[in-house]
This record gives sequence, C-alpha cells and structure tokens, in this order.
Amino acid sequence: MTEKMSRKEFLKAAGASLMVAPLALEGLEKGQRSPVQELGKQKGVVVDVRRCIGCKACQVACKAWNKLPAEKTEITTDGEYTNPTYFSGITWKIVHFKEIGDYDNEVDGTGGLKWRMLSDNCKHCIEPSCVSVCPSGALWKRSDGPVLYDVDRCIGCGYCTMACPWGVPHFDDEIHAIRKCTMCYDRIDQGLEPACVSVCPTDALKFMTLEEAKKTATEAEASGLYTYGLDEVGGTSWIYISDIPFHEFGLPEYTSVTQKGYETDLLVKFAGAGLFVGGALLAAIRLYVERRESIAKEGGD
Amino acid sequence: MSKLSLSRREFLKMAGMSPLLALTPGLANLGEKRPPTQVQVLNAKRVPTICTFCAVGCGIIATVADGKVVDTEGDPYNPLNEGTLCPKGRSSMQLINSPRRLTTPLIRTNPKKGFEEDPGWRRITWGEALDTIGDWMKPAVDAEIARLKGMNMMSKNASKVDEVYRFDGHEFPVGCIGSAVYNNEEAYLNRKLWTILGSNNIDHCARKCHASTVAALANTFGFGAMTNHFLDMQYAKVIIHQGGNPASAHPVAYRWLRMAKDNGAKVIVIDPRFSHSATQADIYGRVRVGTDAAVFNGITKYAIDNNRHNVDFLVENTNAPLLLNTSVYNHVLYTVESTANTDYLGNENLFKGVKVHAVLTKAGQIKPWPEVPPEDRQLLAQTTGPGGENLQTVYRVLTSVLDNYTSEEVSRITGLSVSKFEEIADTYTSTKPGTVTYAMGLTQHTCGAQLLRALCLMQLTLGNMGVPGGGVNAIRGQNNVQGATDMLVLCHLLPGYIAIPSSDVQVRGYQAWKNAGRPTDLSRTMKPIVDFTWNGVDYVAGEEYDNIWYMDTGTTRTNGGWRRYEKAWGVFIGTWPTSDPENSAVISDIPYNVGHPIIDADRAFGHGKFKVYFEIGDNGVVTDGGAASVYMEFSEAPGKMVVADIWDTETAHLADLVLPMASVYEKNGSVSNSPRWVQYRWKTSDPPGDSKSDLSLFMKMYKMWRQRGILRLPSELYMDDHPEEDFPVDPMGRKCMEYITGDEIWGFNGTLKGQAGRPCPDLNWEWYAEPDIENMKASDQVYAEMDDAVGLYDGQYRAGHVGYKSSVHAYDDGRGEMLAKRRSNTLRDGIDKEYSMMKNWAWCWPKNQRILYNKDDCGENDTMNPVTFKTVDNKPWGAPSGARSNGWPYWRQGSTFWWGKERTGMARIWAQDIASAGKDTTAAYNGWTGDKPDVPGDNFTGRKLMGPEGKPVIGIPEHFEPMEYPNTELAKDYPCYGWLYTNRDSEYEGNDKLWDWDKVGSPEEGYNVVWGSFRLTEHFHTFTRNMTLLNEAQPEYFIEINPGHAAELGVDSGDYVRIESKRGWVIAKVRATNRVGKLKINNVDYWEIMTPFHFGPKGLAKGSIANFVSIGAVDPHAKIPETKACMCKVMKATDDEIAAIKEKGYHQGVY
Repeated sequence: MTEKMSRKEFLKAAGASLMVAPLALEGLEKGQRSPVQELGKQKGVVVDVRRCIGCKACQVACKAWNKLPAEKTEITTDGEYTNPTYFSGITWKIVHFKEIGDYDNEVDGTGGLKWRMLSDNCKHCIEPSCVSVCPSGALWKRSDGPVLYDVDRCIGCGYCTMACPWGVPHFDDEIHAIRKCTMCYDRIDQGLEPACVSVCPTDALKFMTLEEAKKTATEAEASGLYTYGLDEVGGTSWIYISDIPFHEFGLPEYTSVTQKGYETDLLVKFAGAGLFVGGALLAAIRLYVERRESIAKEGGD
Repeated sequence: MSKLSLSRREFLKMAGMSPLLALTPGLANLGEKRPPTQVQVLNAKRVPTICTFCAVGCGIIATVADGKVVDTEGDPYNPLNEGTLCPKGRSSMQLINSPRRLTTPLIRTNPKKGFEEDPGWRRITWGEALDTIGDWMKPAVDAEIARLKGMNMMSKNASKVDEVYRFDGHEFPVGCIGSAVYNNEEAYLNRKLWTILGSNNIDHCARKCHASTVAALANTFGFGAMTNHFLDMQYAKVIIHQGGNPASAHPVAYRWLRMAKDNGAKVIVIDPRFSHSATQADIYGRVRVGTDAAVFNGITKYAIDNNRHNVDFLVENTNAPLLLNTSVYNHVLYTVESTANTDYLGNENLFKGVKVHAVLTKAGQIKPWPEVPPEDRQLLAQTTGPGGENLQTVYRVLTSVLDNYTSEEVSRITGLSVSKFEEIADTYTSTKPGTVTYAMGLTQHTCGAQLLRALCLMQLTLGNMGVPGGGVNAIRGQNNVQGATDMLVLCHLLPGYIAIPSSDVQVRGYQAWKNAGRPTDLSRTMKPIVDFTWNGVDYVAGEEYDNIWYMDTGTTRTNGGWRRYEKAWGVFIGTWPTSDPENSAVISDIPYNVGHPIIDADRAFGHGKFKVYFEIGDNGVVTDGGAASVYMEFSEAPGKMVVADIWDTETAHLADLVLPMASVYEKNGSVSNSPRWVQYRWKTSDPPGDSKSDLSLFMKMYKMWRQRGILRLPSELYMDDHPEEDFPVDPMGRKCMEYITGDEIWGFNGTLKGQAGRPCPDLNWEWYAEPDIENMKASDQVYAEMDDAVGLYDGQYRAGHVGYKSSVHAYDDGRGEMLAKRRSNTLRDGIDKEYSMMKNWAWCWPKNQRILYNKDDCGENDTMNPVTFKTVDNKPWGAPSGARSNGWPYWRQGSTFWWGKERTGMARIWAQDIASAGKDTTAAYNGWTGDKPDVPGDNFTGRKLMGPEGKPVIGIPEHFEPMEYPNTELAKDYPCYGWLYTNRDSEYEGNDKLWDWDKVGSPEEGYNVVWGSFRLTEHFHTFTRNMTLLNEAQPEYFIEINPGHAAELGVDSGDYVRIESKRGWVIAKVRATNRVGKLKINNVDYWEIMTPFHFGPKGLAKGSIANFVSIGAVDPHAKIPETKACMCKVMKATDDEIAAIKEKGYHQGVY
C-alpha cells in the first residue's frame, strides 16, 4: 500500500537521477571536460630514459609535494630496485628498473650489459580513457593538458582503473575516491614545473609544450630510438624516449586507436539523460497508476 | 561526513595541498584528509639552507609555516643544483619532523651493553648530563696530571731549563670522535676545545674516508683536496668513474657530468659492480676491488708507449726531469747550488746562492733547474754524477716501474680483459682534458695512499692537472667532512693543517722566532732566517715556500699557525721567561704528539685507555671497517661513552649517556662541500624538544670543565706554581704570559675592539653570545674568529672597520661581510665566465680559488692582497708559459717540513716517502720479508717492487694486494702494503695488534669470494632509515650476487644467504643480478658479491650490519681502514637464521 507521495518525496525519488544529468550538462557547457583539446595550448613532458640515473628523486618529490604517505615495501622477487612496484591511491609515481643482458669482458662498450630506469606516472592522454568511462564525470581533461579529478564525484566504481591502459588511477581507501598524478597543475599554474620534473638532477624529465614534446620524440624516433606516447592510445602528454624497448619496463604495446572515448562519453551522457527521462517517465507512470488505483479505491469511475 | 554535504568553501579548503597555492574555483579536488597545512603556508617563510647529506652541498629551500618546516625543495638559485635534488635532500623535512628524533638526554641504567640488551634509558636534564660528564672526566684528568708530574712535567723544578709544562696529546684519557655533519664553527670549536683541554685524541670519519686522499694528493700536489669542482666537470671530454659511483652517492654531481656527455664527453666506469653511474657509461669494465693502482699505472704506461704523455707539462710542472741520487738510501733528489744571476728567461734568478734540484741537460750536464730551459732538459736519462755516482732522472725511474704494467699484467691482477683494458686506456689517453672522480673504492685500502698516488701520476703524465675539465676529483662524502677536515677534527694536525708540537726544541725555536719579531720576509732566496742551536745541534728556522694562501702573509707555516692560535685562543706556546728561549721553562698550551686515529681510538677506548669517549654524530659500530671488533670494543669498554646524535643509532644504543642534538637544518653556520666551497646555511626551525646545537654543547662543556677545574692550561698551572714570579696582567686583573697588543690584535666583529690581547681563554668563550647560541650571533662570531685563527680560511671574512690592519683582509668598504653568505650567480669576466667558476657565489679556499693549481684562477681572488698573482699569458695551466717571476703560485713540495732544505714548488712524480710524521719505515728500504704467520718460511720479496740496487722503489707507487687476497701466487708478487708497517703491534697490552693475524682469512681456508660494498642512492650512511619516503624506496638490507653464483648456492632473489669472514657474519636477502659476476684473477675464476652498508638493528628500516664482515686493517700512512676489500664465504642461510632475520629484521654476529 503506497502512501500519497508528497512533493518532497517525489523530488527526492527523482533526485538521484537529477544528480547525474546536470553534471553531464554542466560538463558539456563548460567545454573544459571535452576529451579532445586543441594541441597547441597543451603542455607535455619528455622523459628521456637514457638520462635517468635511477635516483628516485622524482618518486620522492611527488610524495613530498602531494603530501602522500610512504608504503611499506619489500625487496621484489625479480631483484630489481623498483619500489613501490604498483600505482596506488597514495603512489602516483614509480620508477621501473630493468637490467638487460649479461656482462662479457671481451665485448666493447658496456660489455653487453644495460640498466635502464623509467620514471612512470599518469601519462595525461590526449584522449583519456579514464575520462571517457567515468560515469560520474569525476575525471576531466583540462585544456592545457592535465587530467584532473574531483574526489567528491568519484563513486568508486573502478572503471577508470580498468580502462586506463596502465592502471594508473587507484582507489584511496582513506579518501574514498580515486587519486593519481595531476601533472602538478597547482605548480604549473604558478609558473613552476611539475615536482618530479623540477627535482630531476639530470633533466631526464623536461617540461615543455606538447608540440615541442612531440617534435622532440619524433626526432628521437627518426634517429633510431624507441618512443612511447606519440601514437599510443591516441597520443599522450608524457612522451618517452628510450634506447631499449618499452615492453622491458612492462609498458604494454598499444595501437594508436583509442577507445572511441568521444563516443563513449556521449553514450554515458545519453545514458544520463536517458536515466533522467526514464526516471521521470517511471515516476509519472507510477503517479498515474497510483492515482488510478486510488481513484478506483475511492469508488472508481 | 558525507561528501555530498560539503559546502563549497570546505571543498576548496580540502583541495590542493602545496605551499604555493593560489586557490581558485574549478580546481581539482584531489582529496586531503590530513591537516590543511596549505592554509598555514600562506604565511610561510622560505629559508635557504644546505643539505645535510652528501658533500655536493646542494641548496635547499625550506618552507617554514608557523615555525614548522612543511617542505624542503631544491634552491633554484644555488648554482650547484639549480633547484634539483636527490631523493634524500628532497625528503629532508622527514628528518626534521621525525617523531623519532632524540629530544632529551638519556642515561643508561642497564650496565649490560649489546644489540639484544635494553639500555634502560632514563631521561635526565642537560644539567644532570653535564654533571655526569664532569664526574667521569675529573678523576681521569687529575690522574693524567699526576702521571705527568711523575715524569717530572707540570711541576716546579729548581732548574728552570728542566721545567716543562704541557700535556701529552696522545695519552690524554679523554677521546672524541667528532662529526662530519656539524657546521664549520662547531668543528672548529670541537677541535679547539679538545686542544686546550690537553688532548689530541680527537678524530672523525674523514680518517676512514679520505685520509689516503690527503696523504697521496698533498704529497704529490701540495693540497690534499679535490682539485676541481662539480660545475667544472661539464668541461671534461673524457671522464673516469672509478672506486666511486657519483650517480648514487652524489646524484646532483651527475647533473654536470651529464652535461659533459651532452657536450660529447665519453664516460668510462671501472667498478666491480655495474652501478647507477655505469648506466651513463660508454665503456664499462669490471675490476677487482683494490686493484686500481694497476689500472692507473697501466694507463700511464699506455700513454707513454703511445706518445700521449704531456712532455711539456712534465718538464715544467713536475719533478720528472730531476735527478735521483739512488746511492743514498732515501733517494734524495740531487741538488746543486744555483749560481747564475739570471734564470733561463733572463729574469733575476731568485734562486741564486741556493741549493736547488738538478736536471740533466741534453748535453749530458748536470745543472740547476731554473737555469736550464725546458727543451734542454732530458726526460729519459741516466748519467754519472760529479762524484761518480749513478744518476737517473725521476722520469727514468717512473718508466722502469711502469714497465711491469703491461696490458697482460693489468689483466692478470685486475680481472679486466686485455681488450677491455686497452679500450679504456686508448679512449682515456687520446682525449683531453680528462678527469677522474672517485671515492671510497679507491681510498679505503691498506695501500690507499699508494693507490691514489698512481692516479695522481696518471693525471700528471697526461697533463690533466690545473685545467678546467681535468683534475683529481676526490669526491668527499658527508656534507661537512671537508670543513671538519680543514678544522682538523683529526688527531695529527691543528686547524688549517698546522703541525702539532712534538718536542721542546720546536717550542724553544718558536719562542726564538717570536723574539726575532716574527719575521715575515718572503725572500725567495730561501735563506735561513733564524739560526738556533740547541743541545749542540744546529737547527734552522727556515723560510719556506708555502701554499698559495700564505705567499703574502709571509709567515712561516707552523709558526704562523701557532701564533694565530695564541692570539685567537688565549693560549701560550713558548718559554718562560720569554727572553731566553734556550734556558727557560718550556710551556705549551697546545698538547704535544699526534693522537689516536679513529680505528685505533676505538681500540684505545675498548682497552680502557680512554676513560671517557665522545662519539659526536658518528655511528662507528655500523660504518667502521672491521665493525665486528668495534662492536666488541664499544660493548665491553671499561670507560664511559657519550654519544651525541639526532637519532637513537646503533652506537647510541651502546652508549652510557646520549645527548640529543640539533640537525644542521636547525642551526645556522658555514659548511664546506667537497670542492672546498664554503656556503652558509640559515636556521629553518628550532630543534625539537630539548635537543641542542653542537655549538651549545661545546660552550656548555667548556664552562663546566672550567668550573670543575677539568680544563686548566699548562700556562695557568705554571703561573699557579710560581707565585713568586711577575706576570703581565690584563685589564681585568688576570695574570697572563703574554699580553698581545698593537697590530696583532684582531678586533674582528667589532666586539672586542680595543680589548687588547687574549690573555685568558675564558674571554674567548664568553664572547660567544650565550643567549644567542641557538640563533645567528654566536655562530657568526665563531666564523669571524675562524677567519683569523685558521690560516686556510683566511679571507672568508671581510672585516668592516676602516683602518683595520691586516695583511689579508680587504678593508675598503666599511662593511663586515661573511663571504660564505654570498648568493650571487653573476659570473666575472674572464676565466670565471669561460669556465663557470661561480666566484661570486659563497667562498672557496684557498682565497676563492676554485680550481687548484690553476694560475689564472689564482690571480682572481677576492682578498685584494698586496701581492697579486700575475700570469704571463692568460691560458689555463697545461700550456707552458714559462712564468717564473712574480706570482708563480708554487706548489708545496710536500707535507714534511725539512729543516734547511729547499722547496721547488713542483708536483712530485717521485714522492720520497709519504709516511706521516714519525713513522719509521726504514725496514722497507732494507728489503721486505714476508712474515705472515700462516705461510711460514715464505719470503715475499715482492720482486716487482725492487728498484736499483735491490731497494724497494717506494717513491713511485705500485699495486699492492689487499690484506685478504684471493690468489696466493699473485699476492707473493704484490705483497700487501700493510705488511710493511713495522709497528704493526698496537700499543695495548696483550696480543692486540692493529689487525690480528687470527682475524685475517686466507684463500687456503676457503675465503674465496671477493667481497665489496657500495652505496645506495636512497640512503645516506646510517642517517636515513627513519625517513619513510626513503625506506619505501629501499626497504631492506641485501647483497647483489650473480644469478650463476646464486644458482650454485641454491638461492634466488628473495632468498637469504649467510656471508662470513674471519671477523663476523651477516644474513642477507639476495638480489640476483648480472651487474656483479666473475673475475679472472691470475687465470683463476672468482665470484664477487657486493653489499650496501647502510643497515643496522636500529631505525624503522632495519638490516644486518654489512661491515661485520669487513676488515679493519689500516693503511700505515693514512690509518684508513681497508673497508672496501676483503674475502668471504657465502652460503645459503639455514632455516633458523632465516627465522631470526624475519623476526628481528637483522641478524649478524661476531667471531
């Protein structure tokens, strides 16, 4: 037996769906949250693996700047110096170590042995998968590059973690939302460089416009080096240059094809709109039915 | 609280979190449940300081909000790091704010000491702590005075000439291991305090770090310091990293090395382990620990064989063309009297009438070198001397020694393949300028001083010295080890590298020099200026050539140094009455005799010689070579140990009393980095709890010692014993031995202007403004005093008063200026601009000269000396310019002062004997006999080391095997240098020696894995294991072992092994890697393992103490332990051992 629904209750029932749609509309209106941006205005970072001395200053600087606590770690079974080994809600930067080859006294140069380190974090994709799949619009790409997020909007569904090719965004149990590298937007806004870039003694990380970054990487590729981020998943703001293949660091090979984020995004928004419409329709139908029933009860027509 | 109900204001409050916030709407909400410090930082100060860790000396900006440091980032204005940092410096705020910092003094209640024992600390006040120290010290000092009285010293005597009032610095029962971390002012006060107490038993970790560098470099070049600097490295065209890993130990140095690579430089890494630096290498060669002298000699030979040696450089700047008189056992360089009126350039012959070294001319004549143009000198020759003796040039001897080091022999010794060695030699010798960076891998050996001499000779032969991009870059470890060294927190010298008195004769001679008016004649004829006969023996207080900074003051080195202390410290050295030095009582407030160096000091303490032993900012039980015996010594010593530190360290755990100290970030003061730059750090915040600065500690101890009669100067004791005599009296009515007046007063800092003399040491200490100890003033006062008391630091302060008289200060601008505080990045025209010397940033010794031995850099110093150094052309050294007249900055010939003998200011290819003062190595010259007990009957004649007439050629360095070697046959060819040390027995009772033969393992006993240690980037010594961000990056102790070796043992990464030597054992986790591996030595294969040494039982990140395996045998010259080479056994750990380490986090033991 249903009670007569007050206006307040009606709104409350419809409220849930109300929450979603306005945000979606808001996002589209602002224009900031569109996944595809004008390349020229965007910032980028070039990471040259050859310059890295594996000091982990970048890893520490990220935690120091963002006031993230340390994780309890232990030596990994592959014997490498990578620690921590996974992104988490409180670890936004990790340095992958990879040793290749064996030393032979009779071989010139480094004797056939190589050891490389890669400073890894959110790559701030041009077309971020995480942004596309986020049902609550908690993630967005700012016009100048950083992919940012609002912890209040995160509903903890975990889609972004799954959608990200590198599993970057992670749920932070204390904050109850995903967290990840922000490209130090707060530093960039002050005319500074991201904390990791700023601290790197050998300038293995260099901050520049995305256009310059793409140019640098393209030249590197032309000279025979490996690059990562020029084309992968539609291109990323953080582009890597290396003299060993990236799969050695555990970075997967990706095609240039994106997840059609644009379409997915619209799908989500349509879904939102659909929910609103559907919700409103259901509420209307229910009201009608109840009204009909109560009329019937009262004696009916 | 539901997120949905956050107001917009609260939402913004939680957004962002970093110091430079400008909160605008639309920002990301990144989530921040922790206290919103960003609200505080809107009022934050940004305070510049210098990092506390390594000796690069990176600038750090501390963001301080409400008195608390919230972040520590790189200082963008500091030219060394340009805003970058390594992870250690970057996480400094964790050190500052750690809840594990010591905050109150602690006294032990459990008499049993050990890692498994709880000390039962009881918190006490500073007053109680100081009283306790006094209670411990008083009876010890009284007993020492009684002992001296028993030897007829420190007491009145009927015959004045027999009265001697002075302490024996070697025997004084209170020892101190000082710190390499505290500021210069504190280092200076530490040394000053111990000296006036009567003890030379003060040393610090420089001894176990770069002592061999000082012995080698000072005896070759003149100074024992890093010759170039970090920014200069970008100008190198080829770089060798050997026995050092700058990418890990000095990461920001790699900024400049990387820049060199960008400019086309080649990097060569020669290391037992493929290190972080090797990631940047063009060539990497795996080499056995301790065999680097063979590599250097091999490269030098390769250069000469391929005609790549720099002949002009050798002739102009070294003693290579000089003749050796080999018929005299100590191989004196041949000398003749110089008689010409002009030198070969046609200038006045400043050496006329003086005996100078002789060279061989092309015509086969023997002539004084100033008279012979370089082209007429012979580099390869032997000839017959005037008396029929056989004479060879130094160069000839060098090549005959180097003959042995063929590529094949280098390979046999080191494990480098012939092709790899030649690849290295070819690349290095064909590119100029070349620089070599190194650290402990080269220094910490029983042959460290000789090994480094081989490096120096290589660089001299190639002409890489005194040039930008070249040099011998001995990179020092701790942030102020250079400063602590300069202040001589070391047992064998006094601040500024001044000799310690060792005989009454010296003191009498010094009084005579004072009476003669402290002659400052800088005549280059080097005439003796004071003749003095004592006990029928003639002594000459000669004028000597000194280091560059002394050229204009004209004071003789030692005498000038002592005079500075008299004036600055209020002490007296001389005779009483002063008028008759020959027949009067000898009084020295500076104690005689070299004290105990660090490893020896630990033993002295362990055997009860020191009744009280201070360890200030040192963690010897983890970091000493042979730490296993240090553990026993500290645990079982009958005396009392006082540890002053910022953390509860492994050594603190074994102390009787622990004092809580401020970190460097909580103090202001000056600090000297590895390339001698004296920078300034400003105080960022107050030290936590009741912790105090070292400055405060020394002030308080001085006061307490005076009050309790623990510190009494011999001059005071003399005056007390002779009430019948008349002494001068100061304005306060106190008696003194000398009332210093007139132009000798240093009214520095204006504080004591007009107050003549320093008749009493109390005046010194009182004027360090007590209320301001923890703030700016006291430390800055000490800085000004150092400027006067420490000759080497002369010129680091520009006095401000008009009319202030001093021959070394600028006095034009009426401003007092501490040059270390300068923060200008402007480059001066000329060499500064060309080579990024940063002469306007901070200050550098000597006299702001950034590249040692570079003529042009000499000429552009800051202190406006009356004598300016002119150069003929303006080229960096390396291009012979022939300048011999005014301004030639002569190098010192060596640290041994020879009475009446001449100096020539040349770098020493042949360095006669680099023994430190007093050591008798006569046996070496009479042929060596091996007396290693477990190989009886063998006679290790070291055939390769024999020079002419069957005598060992010590003057040219050779390879020497480590005390523990892998291959006996090879060791017979290259016996350990430590076996030369005739005084192998330590002076303590029982069978204790500086190393026990029982504790030296041999390959026949199965110790056939080569052991070596290294540094991690993420940790700094034992300093950082309470800092979570660093522990996260490197959480555990481990060893690096080749996968093939691991497979043989049945282990893999993540498993545990036991490593043992004759001294101790450790359990360690395995990291299997190809970066370590096999070495082929003398055609036999050996495995090597490498281990970091940072870990110990204390702290958040625990681990076994690696150095329990290492050996403490020392270099006879430098007394540095052979931490970096020994042999071990490796095996899979047992289940019990694994359980133990998993439970405790560490597991190690002593045999």
